[in-house]
Amino acid sequence: MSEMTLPRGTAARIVPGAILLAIAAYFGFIVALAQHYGAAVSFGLPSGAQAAIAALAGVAGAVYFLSTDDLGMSMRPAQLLVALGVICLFVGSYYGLFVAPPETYMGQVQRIMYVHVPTAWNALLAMTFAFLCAVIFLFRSGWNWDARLEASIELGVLLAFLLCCQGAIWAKPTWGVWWDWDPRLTTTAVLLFAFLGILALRRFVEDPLKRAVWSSVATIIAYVDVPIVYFSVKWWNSLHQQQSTPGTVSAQFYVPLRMNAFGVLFLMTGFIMLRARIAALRLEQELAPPLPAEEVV
Amino acid sequence: MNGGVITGGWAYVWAAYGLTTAALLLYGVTLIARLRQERARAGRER
Amino acid sequence: MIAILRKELLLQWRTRSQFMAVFVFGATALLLFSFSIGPNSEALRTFSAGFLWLGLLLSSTLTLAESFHAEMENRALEGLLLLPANPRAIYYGKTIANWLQLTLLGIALVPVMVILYDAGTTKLLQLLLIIMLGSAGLSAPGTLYAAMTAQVRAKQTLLPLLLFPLIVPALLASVKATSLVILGDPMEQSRSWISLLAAFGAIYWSLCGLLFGRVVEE
Repeated sequence: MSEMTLPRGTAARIVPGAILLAIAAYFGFIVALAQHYGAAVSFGLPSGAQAAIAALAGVAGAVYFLSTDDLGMSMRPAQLLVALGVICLFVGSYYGLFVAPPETYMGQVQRIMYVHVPTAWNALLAMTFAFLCAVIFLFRSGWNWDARLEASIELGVLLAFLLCCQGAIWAKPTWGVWWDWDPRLTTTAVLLFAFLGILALRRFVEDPLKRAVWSSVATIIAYVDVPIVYFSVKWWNSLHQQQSTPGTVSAQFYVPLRMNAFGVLFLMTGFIMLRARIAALRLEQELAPPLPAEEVV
Repeated sequence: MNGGVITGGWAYVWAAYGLTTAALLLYGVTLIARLRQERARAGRER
Repeated sequence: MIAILRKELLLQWRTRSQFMAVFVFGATALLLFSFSIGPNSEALRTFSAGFLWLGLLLSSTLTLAESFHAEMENRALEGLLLLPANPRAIYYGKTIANWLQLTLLGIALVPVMVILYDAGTTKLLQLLLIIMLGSAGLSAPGTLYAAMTAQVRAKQTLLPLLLFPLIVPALLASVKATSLVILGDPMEQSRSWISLLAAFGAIYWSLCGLLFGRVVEE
């Protein structure tokens, strides 16, 4: 099949994104791993700056890949990202499950954080990218953006759902209840339902243009709501409970966390690219001129 | 919880990791299946 | 926009039997909620604010869907858009009409709440303010989504599906503020909840107004 070789220009197009992701991974966890084994490779940057660079470069790289993907025949970049993601998740999870020490108070249960926090960051990223796609589609049109919108909403819903489950699994041994109205988790639940609704909307609207415009509008409205929901639940909750939320992780635990974060990031980006292709193929079929009618004799 | 320390809990950890892995794997598989299906349909239409 | 508003209000006046039906629906809902708790007057009073707003929310799906029913019946939406009226004017005309209707509904349900749950209060003006702000928060995104879903097959399920997650902050704030009015507000919290409601309303009245044009264009 002709897609075995990359079309000309794909390599050049990938390079900036690959560089960004490489920088991100480097400062994200490679430096930490190397330092663990005694190498001094951090270019003298303080760890806060390293974390910031890793986060920014990671997000930029992922967004770059997603935006410049032409949703064409070649799936090589997406497949590579998925493979990289799986590897990072394997190694990161191994580290988190068997190498990292248990936390003082939470014991083994704390290890759930190594999947919970990465899922959280990436769910938010997916939704934010969906918001971007919606805005770009409304201002500029371009069916590729609608395809990307559909893909990132679906991935966002998947990750948000996982987030709620993980949160419940974490809460049970820690607080004794499956749900404790933690503002972050509650906001995620609301987000989940809101975006599920948008997916349902897409399913019920047949006209592709209406579907695209309406889901873009709905995405913008839902996304703007997220901070409002978060703050209102925070105030609402603070009157009743003083429980601390599954919060920030102390420094010594961050290698498995970062590796898993990148793992999910790469995996999610690859998945969005593949899912967008499905959407694009379907759009192509819907927008194609109708076949000539059968001759009526 | 004794003295503020949670003992055991491996079951929950495995549950969380297992669920996440299973979900991502399943989703990936459905993606591949759906992609193949769409491509086959596009190929037939041409 | 005034013309559109006048037309909407006229339409609502002509179909006021529909308003009665929605009111009865809301009142029935409030009655049913009480059965979920049982004849425990203490508990009923505590949750009366929540029941009121849930009842109002459920009734709003009927009211909001109604507001575009006339246009859909006679394909009048296209006709409306051909007029030299701004779609924004259409939006605000309809939203204000819906807002007034929801406020009226809220006010009508208050006596039902007072009777069923023994949830009386003397701070009627504050209660009115909360009802007005809460209804405003519901009607802005509600009208937008009603316009969308009116043109779709599964309209009855889609409207609540889209609207409910969205208005969670407005619901939270309205219930909280109302229950402070009914049960007492020792720490003076109502101001912050009312501000939250006002902020939510302001954001969504502007945002939805901006986006409405895209929703109804052909």
